Amino acid sequence: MADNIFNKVSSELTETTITSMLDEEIKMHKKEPPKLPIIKLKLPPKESVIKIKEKKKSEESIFKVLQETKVEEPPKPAVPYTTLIQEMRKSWRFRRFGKPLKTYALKRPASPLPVLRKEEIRKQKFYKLKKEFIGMELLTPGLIVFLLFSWIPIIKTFIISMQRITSMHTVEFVRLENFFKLFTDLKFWEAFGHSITLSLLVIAFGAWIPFLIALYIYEMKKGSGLVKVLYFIPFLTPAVPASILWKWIYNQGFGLLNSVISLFVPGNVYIGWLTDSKIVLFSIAIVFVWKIIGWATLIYLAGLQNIPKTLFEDASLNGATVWQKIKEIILPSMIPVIVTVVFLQLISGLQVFTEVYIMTNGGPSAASEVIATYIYKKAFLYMDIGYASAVAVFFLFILVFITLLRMNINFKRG
Amino acid sequence: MAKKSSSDEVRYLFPFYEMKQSRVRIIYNIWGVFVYSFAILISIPFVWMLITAMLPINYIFSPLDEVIKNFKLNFEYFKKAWEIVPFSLYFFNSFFVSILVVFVQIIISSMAAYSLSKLKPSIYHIVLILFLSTVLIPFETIAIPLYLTLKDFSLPGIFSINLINTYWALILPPIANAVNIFIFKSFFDKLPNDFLESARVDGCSEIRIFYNIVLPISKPIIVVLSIINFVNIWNSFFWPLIVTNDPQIFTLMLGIYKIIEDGQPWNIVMSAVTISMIPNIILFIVFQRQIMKGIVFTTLQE
Repeated sequence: MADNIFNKVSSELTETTITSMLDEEIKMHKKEPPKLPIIKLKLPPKESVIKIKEKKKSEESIFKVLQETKVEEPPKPAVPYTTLIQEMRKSWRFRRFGKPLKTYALKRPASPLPVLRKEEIRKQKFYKLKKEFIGMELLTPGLIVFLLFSWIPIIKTFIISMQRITSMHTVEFVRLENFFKLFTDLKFWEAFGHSITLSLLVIAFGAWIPFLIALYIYEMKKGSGLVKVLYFIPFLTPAVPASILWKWIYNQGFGLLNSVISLFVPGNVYIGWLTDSKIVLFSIAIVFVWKIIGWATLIYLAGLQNIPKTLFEDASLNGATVWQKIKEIILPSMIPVIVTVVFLQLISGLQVFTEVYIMTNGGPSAASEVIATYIYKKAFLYMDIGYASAVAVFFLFILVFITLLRMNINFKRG
Repeated sequence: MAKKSSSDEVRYLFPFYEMKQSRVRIIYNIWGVFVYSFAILISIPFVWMLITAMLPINYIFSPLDEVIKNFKLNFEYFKKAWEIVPFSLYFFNSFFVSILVVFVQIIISSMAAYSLSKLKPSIYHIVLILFLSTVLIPFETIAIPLYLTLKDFSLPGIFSINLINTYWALILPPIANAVNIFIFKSFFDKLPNDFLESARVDGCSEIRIFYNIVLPISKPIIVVLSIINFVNIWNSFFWPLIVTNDPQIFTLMLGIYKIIEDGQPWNIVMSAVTISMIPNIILFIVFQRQIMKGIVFTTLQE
């Protein structure tokens, strides 16, 4: 110890340093644990808490006495009636330990309704009749329009699907013949497979890319409007101009896509995006995804706004990474939105008509035939109306099945 | 210049106090590059459309370098396209049809929704289920019988008209759209009943309540719905293709489709396509907020 002191002589030797060194030395020898300051909290006496809890039982009995006056009970000790203000005061005073404010204890017992006079009853009846009459009056135009243009046609499709119509006036009734024909028609099943693969391709690209985009746009505050608009413009362009534009881009000899690829690959490139039967569905799906990405990002953004923000703060205070935040917070609360987006994409992918009709019109040797174009061709080109409506009925059942599936999923989630 | 302090901008996935970590910053930047480049990639087709619309015919079938070298601003082909295609007729037809459809749709569906949500006549449940069932049904399935009914639109023994190739065929069937009814109904359900009851006590008749109180309140939703329906009918292609055959009543979309069938050169086709997209872009610029809100509202309604 003395050595230590002598070493420090030259630089700094004050009283405090010497005393601190001494203290350290003493501690080294004694090896006593350091004494920590003990803080004593003053808790309120327990009696006050207990008293309030005891009061609870007696309060509900006020109204029992009022209601059951006939039954003679032994007189109970009078309980002081508490007004609302008193109650609120009490609850404020014992806000930490005491009982919560209960509104049901303050309600009055239900009083019987005053007896109505006969005239009033008649007036009420008249009023109800009037309400019903006006309600029907407001409904009728809607009912007529829907009857003419959606309910009767639905029933008619079912009827026509069991008929063979060769011309306008010769109609045969042939039970389920059209449906038997449908189940053995290979061309129809090909078209059905094409539309299912198309919608699966649309989901495969159109569901997760917009999710990533929406997550980023939700983060950025400056310039988010511009990016949103850029993504949204393709959805706004009508299907006809969009598919003409893409037909030009996919052009085999001079389209943009092939000429861009030929910049990177030596020699001229002649990929038939719309004439090669293997790629046709893929290139149609790309157009569809291009159109639908903006829509999906918009809906994901609307879903993201409903997530409570405090969760993110808690997570980042606990040191969660970005991936953990996405997995634990965002994905579980976004699942219903994702389900709706996926199912709507599935349905709209099955219903594709315009893009296919304009770009390929069924493609090279029916390689891109989908259900809608098949129905259109059968009904309005080959005039095989009965069979076409049988296909339409089959299509309707598939769509109803899909929507029921979606509703089932939603019900299970609650 | 008052700068925005960083506390105004709240981020949730990449908060500012975590951006000091290099890993988080790298992920954020890569993500941003992806999003921006994808946005540019998506808008390239429009740029290509404008470029080809201004190209002279000699350069259309030439490689990309020459196209970019010889590019000049040139509105000659827009004029030519306007001369070749009767755009004014098509614009008028589309506008006429979609405005009429939207007008009738809004009136009918708001009336039906009001009676379903507030007055509740005794056939309420049946009507509701019947309306709901039409939402599920795709238009392709009812197209054939609709065509047949319009071809022989008749009360047996009284009259029968062929409505194909007339404006009626374009206007009547799209009116039956049940989605509007449900959106209106969900809006009217939120209106407090006491509010209407007070008007009733003052002696207001039921129809006057609807006309003078309920409709003015529901102005924003009417605007949103009418814009969205207008755009949908303007863009529709399947039904006009089936029903119309006469170039005098072609809608805009059909008219453009016919250009391709005629075999015009690509620069004129592209300039016609750009002209056809102008009304949609103007609508979007004017009603941007309503369109975005309406699309979210209609899809998340179910």
